[in-house]
Amino acid sequence: MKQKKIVSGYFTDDKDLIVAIKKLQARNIAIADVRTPFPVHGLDTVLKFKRSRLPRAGFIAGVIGLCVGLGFQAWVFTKAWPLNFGGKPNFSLPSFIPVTFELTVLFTAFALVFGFLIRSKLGPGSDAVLYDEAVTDDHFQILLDVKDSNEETMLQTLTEVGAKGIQTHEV
Amino acid sequence: MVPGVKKKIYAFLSFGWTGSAKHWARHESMSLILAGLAAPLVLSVHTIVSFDFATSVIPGWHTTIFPPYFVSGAVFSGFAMVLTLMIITRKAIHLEDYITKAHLESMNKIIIATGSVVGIAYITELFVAWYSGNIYEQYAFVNRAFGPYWWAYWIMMTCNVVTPQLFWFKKIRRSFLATFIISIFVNIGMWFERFVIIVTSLHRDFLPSSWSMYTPTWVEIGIYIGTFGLFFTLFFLFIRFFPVIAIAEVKSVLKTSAEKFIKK
Repeated sequence: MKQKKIVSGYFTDDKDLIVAIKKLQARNIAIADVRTPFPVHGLDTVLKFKRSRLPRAGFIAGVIGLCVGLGFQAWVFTKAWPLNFGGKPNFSLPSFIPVTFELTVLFTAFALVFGFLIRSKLGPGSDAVLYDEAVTDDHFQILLDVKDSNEETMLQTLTEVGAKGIQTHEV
Repeated sequence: MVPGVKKKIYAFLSFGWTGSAKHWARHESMSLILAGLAAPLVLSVHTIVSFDFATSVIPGWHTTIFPPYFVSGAVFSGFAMVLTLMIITRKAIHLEDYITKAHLESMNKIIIATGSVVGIAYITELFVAWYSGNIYEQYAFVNRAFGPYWWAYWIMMTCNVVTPQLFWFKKIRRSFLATFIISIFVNIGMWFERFVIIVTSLHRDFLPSSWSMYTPTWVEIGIYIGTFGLFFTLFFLFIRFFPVIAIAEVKSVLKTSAEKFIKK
């Protein structure tokens, strides 16, 4: 297995974190990952994340759920097992609405949650490495991959931007 | 428990969460859509529960006002139940700094609003029964209020419509003790609402030979107590082993670092 070398440093305030990221970016140092205890608003724009495609996946799954719900009921009540409910039409849209709506929601929710877990490689038995357990408490951590640029420059720049607990990890 | 085992269990349940910024971004966009779906789902679920009654032809059940009435009733009783549990939990595990009087007041405002909607629904039901000109429907409602189950009807009316109106007073709305007592009243009232809807509509039938009074069997009482047991077992396990407040959510709404919130 290829060895991976990671340089990390943390901040105790999210404002300092954003300032430091901007400084690192100005010096053309690629940021491998940023780990925070809570969603820091504005961080995604600073890191220039592309808009997540999860909503789109959810929408497509929702449309599929809608078609399955509506289509299955229509098939059952008109083709497979038509029943006479007091002379009412077999294809009765109002009575199909609840099931159609609920299947739309179910498909969307499943697509979102499982899409999120798969895309983020999360789930039971995940082998993700937590370099600093305090990122779930009060540390805002920046991770830099050594293969992206010089290790010395990285360590020096992290010290300059005021990062604490600068460390090198080998995975 | 052995500390190592505990850590392993929590590590397994945390699904390898590292707090990566990309994960948070995805998590936020997912949560927004799920929240957007959950709100109409509440309307849908309680509408359909009310359809179980409303699509029947039993006088007292066959009512078009049931869907909105059940939706507001669900919000009303849900808030009351949460308040009952929350006020005790807050004291028991010292969350006084997290759950404040401001939260209490906001929740109580929802209780007045939904409680009043429920009150209007009760009165509308009576009006529609009279206005329908249908003797069975009219009998069902006169029987509810003045028949053998009059006490259940008036407990429901007092607990659901009268007591929440006390929250118009700011002092009561901001008092934990008063809120706790009123929330218990609302819980009792909403339990009696179900009792009134089900029992008073069924104990009379189109044929007087089918008239009877309701007495619960030991199985019914057992199931009733059992639901409390199941709920409280899971509730206590949850507050014992899991964080009761999602601090990440509290922190993220403070918006301390977003560009436009930073003081220049």
